[in-house]
Amino acid sequence: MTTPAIELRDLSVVFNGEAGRVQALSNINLTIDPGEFVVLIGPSGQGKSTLLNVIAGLLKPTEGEILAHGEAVSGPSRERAMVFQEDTVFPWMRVGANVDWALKLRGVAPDERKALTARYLEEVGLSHTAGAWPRELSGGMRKRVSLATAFAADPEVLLMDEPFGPLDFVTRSTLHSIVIRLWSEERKTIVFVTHDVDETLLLADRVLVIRHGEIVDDLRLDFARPRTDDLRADPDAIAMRRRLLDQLGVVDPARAALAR
Amino acid sequence: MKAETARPVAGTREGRKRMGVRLGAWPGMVAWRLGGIAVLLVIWAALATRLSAAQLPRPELVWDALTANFSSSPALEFAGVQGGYFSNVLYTLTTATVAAAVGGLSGFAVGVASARSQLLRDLASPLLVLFAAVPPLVAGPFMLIWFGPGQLAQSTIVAFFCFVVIGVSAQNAASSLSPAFEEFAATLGASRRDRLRHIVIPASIPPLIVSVRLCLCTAWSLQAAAELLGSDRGVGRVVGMAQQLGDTASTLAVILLLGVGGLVIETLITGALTHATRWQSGQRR
Repeated sequence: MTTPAIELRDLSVVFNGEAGRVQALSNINLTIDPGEFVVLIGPSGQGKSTLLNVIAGLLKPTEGEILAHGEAVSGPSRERAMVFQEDTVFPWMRVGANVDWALKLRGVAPDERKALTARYLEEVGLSHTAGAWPRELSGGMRKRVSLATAFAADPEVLLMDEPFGPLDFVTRSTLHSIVIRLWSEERKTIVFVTHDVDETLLLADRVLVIRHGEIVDDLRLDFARPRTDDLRADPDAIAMRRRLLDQLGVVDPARAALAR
Repeated sequence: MKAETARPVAGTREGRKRMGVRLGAWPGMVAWRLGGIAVLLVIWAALATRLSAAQLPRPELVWDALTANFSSSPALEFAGVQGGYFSNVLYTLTTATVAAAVGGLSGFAVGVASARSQLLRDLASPLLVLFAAVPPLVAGPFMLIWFGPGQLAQSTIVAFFCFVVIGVSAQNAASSLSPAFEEFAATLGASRRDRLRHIVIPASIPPLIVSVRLCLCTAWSLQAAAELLGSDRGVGRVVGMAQQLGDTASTLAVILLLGVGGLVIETLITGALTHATRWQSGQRR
């Protein structure tokens, strides 16, 4: 039997804020297999990012246990790299140096690092920017640098917290293709947080719907890859889209009218 | 009207970005700075025609006093002060700069450390605020009582001031760094020490440049003032003597020499800091 990439047992997170006690996650039990592309979807403020931070080791749970490849998680680790919604490209390092630093932290020998930096930058289509400062790049390009840096760390699990949220449609599509290609080549386990249903249908093998700090649905998506925008016309995809929208509490006005 | 190439508008982000990356700007910068000095000289010469030499001597009288006493001065020798104006100004500048560096680096270390540890922050914050409220010249007589009228007392006053200014600035700079940078680095496998060296320190330097300039300029003034309180050499000692003799030209000569020397050191240090933080957009010299 394969050891799960991530295993959560009876996990709960409670915050004590100014507004009082807030139950962010409640009794989560979850197993994610190696190589799975899992999307966590749910309305804002329902616990998606909290769950991701707990898996990353950036937040200690109030109760429960987290295992990564069978070992208890006690803090952040290179085995679970994370790409954030915020811009985390280090502006004081040139683009190539950002990727190189991840390789250095991984313990890669200096002579190998140069070739690997060039390879990861090429994977994200930024070979020509190795010597540039991050401020000289657009938001989408900087997000590609983050991706190259995260993949250069060679994690077992890649966690992505609404990474493409603030980007335009065209840039997002390009980044989706890059993520899928890198995932296909390197077969990392990816846990991806979003509240975008179309992004979910395009990327996920498995969808976990989170509401009020609980996993309320666990769905498998078997649509053939590569997936394109044509998927929007697939009857099964349309049905899945409706189901997810219902889970998110989005009311389709046309269907609501028919129901009346 | 058609432009040959796109030119950013001054004051906009693009314009400031261009300012930050322009490498051939040094000759222009030097020309403008010399221009500023020339304007000052013209105003000075004009005012000197309306005032007595004891109140404001003409620039050429000050120049004469400077050249006559540059490397050695009979008046200083008579009073037991070694060397001329140059060696005394050099003493003041080097003593103050070394003291500012020691105080500033200690302040940076305490400021950054206190931004990263709640316990240290609780310990350091009230002390920094308390020290900031003490005027350095009020602390000066205490330093003279404790350490005597020598280099240690002067340096302690300067180091104390720079420690407080850089400490408060570094604490603010390190505290305002987005936590996402450190969290991202932690998930790449960076240890706490790696994060301090590669993230917190480089990110904290740009907001400190203004404080460093303030520290350097104030350090020289404080050093000279401390020398006035009691010293056997330095700008303060020379100025004190010249004032006793009613020699305004010598007073101005040594103050101007201090200003020019300070300008050179300040330009070199802030130039190095600006180069180290050239990754920023829109930085100003």
